[in-house]
Amino acid sequence: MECRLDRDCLIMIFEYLSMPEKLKCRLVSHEWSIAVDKLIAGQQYLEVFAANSSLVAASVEATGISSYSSNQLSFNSAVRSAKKLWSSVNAKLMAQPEANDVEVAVANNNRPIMNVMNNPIINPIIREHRSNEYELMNVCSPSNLLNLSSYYWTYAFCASSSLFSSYSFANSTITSHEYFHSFCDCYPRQRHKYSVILDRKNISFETFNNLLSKFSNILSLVVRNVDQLSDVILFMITQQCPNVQSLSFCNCSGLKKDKNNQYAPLNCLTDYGWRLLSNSYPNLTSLTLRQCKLSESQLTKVIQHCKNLQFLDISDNICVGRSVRYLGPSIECLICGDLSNDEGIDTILSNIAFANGRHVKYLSIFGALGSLKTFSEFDRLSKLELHYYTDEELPNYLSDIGMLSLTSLVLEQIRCYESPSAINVTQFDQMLARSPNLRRLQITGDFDWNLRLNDNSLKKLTTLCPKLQEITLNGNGSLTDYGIMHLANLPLVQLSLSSFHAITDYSIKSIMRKVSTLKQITLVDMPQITERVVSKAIAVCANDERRRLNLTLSDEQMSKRVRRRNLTYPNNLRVNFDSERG
Amino acid sequence: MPIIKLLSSDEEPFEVDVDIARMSITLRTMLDDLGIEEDDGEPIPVQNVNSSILRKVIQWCTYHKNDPPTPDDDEQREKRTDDIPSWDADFLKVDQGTLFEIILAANYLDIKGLLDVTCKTVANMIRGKTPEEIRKTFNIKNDFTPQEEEQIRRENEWCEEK
Repeated sequence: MECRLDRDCLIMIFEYLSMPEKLKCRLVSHEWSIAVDKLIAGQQYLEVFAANSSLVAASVEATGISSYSSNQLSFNSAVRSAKKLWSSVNAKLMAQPEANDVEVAVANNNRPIMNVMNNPIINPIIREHRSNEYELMNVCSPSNLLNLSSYYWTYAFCASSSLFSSYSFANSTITSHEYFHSFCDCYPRQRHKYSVILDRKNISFETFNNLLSKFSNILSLVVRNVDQLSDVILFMITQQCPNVQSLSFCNCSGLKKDKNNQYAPLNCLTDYGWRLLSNSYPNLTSLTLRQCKLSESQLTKVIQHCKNLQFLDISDNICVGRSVRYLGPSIECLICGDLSNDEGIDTILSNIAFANGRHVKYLSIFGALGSLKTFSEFDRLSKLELHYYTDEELPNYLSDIGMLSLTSLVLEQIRCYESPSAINVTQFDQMLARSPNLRRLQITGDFDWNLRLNDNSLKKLTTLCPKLQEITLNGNGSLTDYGIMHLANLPLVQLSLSSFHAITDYSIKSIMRKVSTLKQITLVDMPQITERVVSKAIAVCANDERRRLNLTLSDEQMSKRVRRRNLTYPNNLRVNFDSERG
Repeated sequence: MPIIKLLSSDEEPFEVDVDIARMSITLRTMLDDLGIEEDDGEPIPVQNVNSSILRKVIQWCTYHKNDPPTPDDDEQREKRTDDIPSWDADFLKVDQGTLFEIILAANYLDIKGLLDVTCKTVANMIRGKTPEEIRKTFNIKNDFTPQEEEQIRRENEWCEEK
């Protein structure tokens, strides 16, 4: 029977397909290829994403593109088996009703903390964990890889080193800030639709140019793990995509040397590129240059040229230095610093406060903990994240956060394995003194640190910050059930606890029953917690149809016991066991 | 329940509840604009849709007449393809020619729910197939010259070149 779909119908069909599938359809016929081109030309978002080659090969094979080049490509059996996994992942991503359902492998003591493929995407997350006892198992299923990477990626504002804190953050019910990269914020579930996956970190200029020419209407471009950030690349972007408002390079460094240890002549990054960028895009409001090995002088050039930025992420580069003194007047959100450098938070803060930076609303800093007195100069700061390490014995700096009136506070200490937290009871009270409107509080440290807070701190918290909706804590401290019971006086939506050895079912069950706003409870590495919390959750949800509850647990033994009991969950309850894998 | 008459392209008359006919935005606009009364007796011609397809379309609309209105398409809504109701899945177990004709009819008559579910069905049929298998499934002629095919493959190379 001769029946052909017109172009509009084809486009409607292709809208349901992922990017690799769309590209495959270009090979079917002229009409199909034109329809695909028309569809992707209207696309507003693009992510160019380099992953390791077996993942890409699996993707290629799963979508069916490969048959056309099977003479060039030889797939090994591992890739063939990955095909199945990939398609299930693909289906799973499609099926995710909520971003919350993305499972991340966070496991308890002595277990591998996660299974990842040996992949450049994951490295940023695990970098900080290399030094301690977290083991990493290489090459597992792509599903974990995908989950973790998409989730690291979702997580622009709080580019953290701690898996637990990032996990809680990714599940957060509170939007982190309005400049949260629009692409990241709205489209995590549709990522396949907007992502072109490359199988190598070096891409030829011709290929890149060719690729960009197909997406000439994009507003947002994300380039990830591609080892090219150079004048030429910036030139091509400005030539091909005139409407870009948001540009992001993550883990891209332009200064790769070739085999003879020479810089490639076209691979340099000078004033020219940034001037071009600011001339071509007067409306460029969001710029991310994370992990691009940029020096202070290079960052200075970027910031001097891009004067209209509202959002700037320059974290994990070589040095912030004085570059942030040149921030433009529109800046509202700044993310900077690097935990692997010596640059102190005090130095970074005073440079930010030097000029326009003191008016930022959202600030996330990575670095060595130091004096925070400069906070007195910030006049609009409402959401703060400090990711720090310290070599000092019991420093006292955190009290000065109390000069600010915050709605969101995230403190993350790294390299503190088995050591006391920088925060203690006194600093805790002082730092929250002027934040009665705080909605989110997250205090996390490395595994097995000693969180120096007690039950009384949580009691005070309920009077200092009566509007608190989200609490994330980890740590071996002296917190017990009594402390947790106090939290029942808060309008909590999300509670995440990890590694508290004295907290039992008792307080969790009580808070589950009393706080009807509570939607997400995450309990990781809590040895006293038993399957009774699951039974309680079932009872609570069965009693009240309006309740919506997600319960995430990490204990493998408990998961087995629960499964053996063959419980049926009411529709309004979701129970996840993160240890269920493999 | 008021009834109106529709006339397929091959001139077969169909009697349909007005409420069911109004699920088609095209017919609804026509009825509203022309102020056609149900008792006119004069059948409304539905060009471009033959009787076998129109019968399927009416069958679908009759089954779905009490569905809640589909939300407006916004970019942020996830495009899922795994949520096809089982009745629809059975209903759409037809040869690809008929499926395509239903898509065209749904598009012409502007019946969003039917269009969505048929497009999803086709998207599911495309997924995981090679271009050659797709052509075979949908009876499409390969109208590329080897050079053109090579060219497109080169353009796609960012996801397949080694």
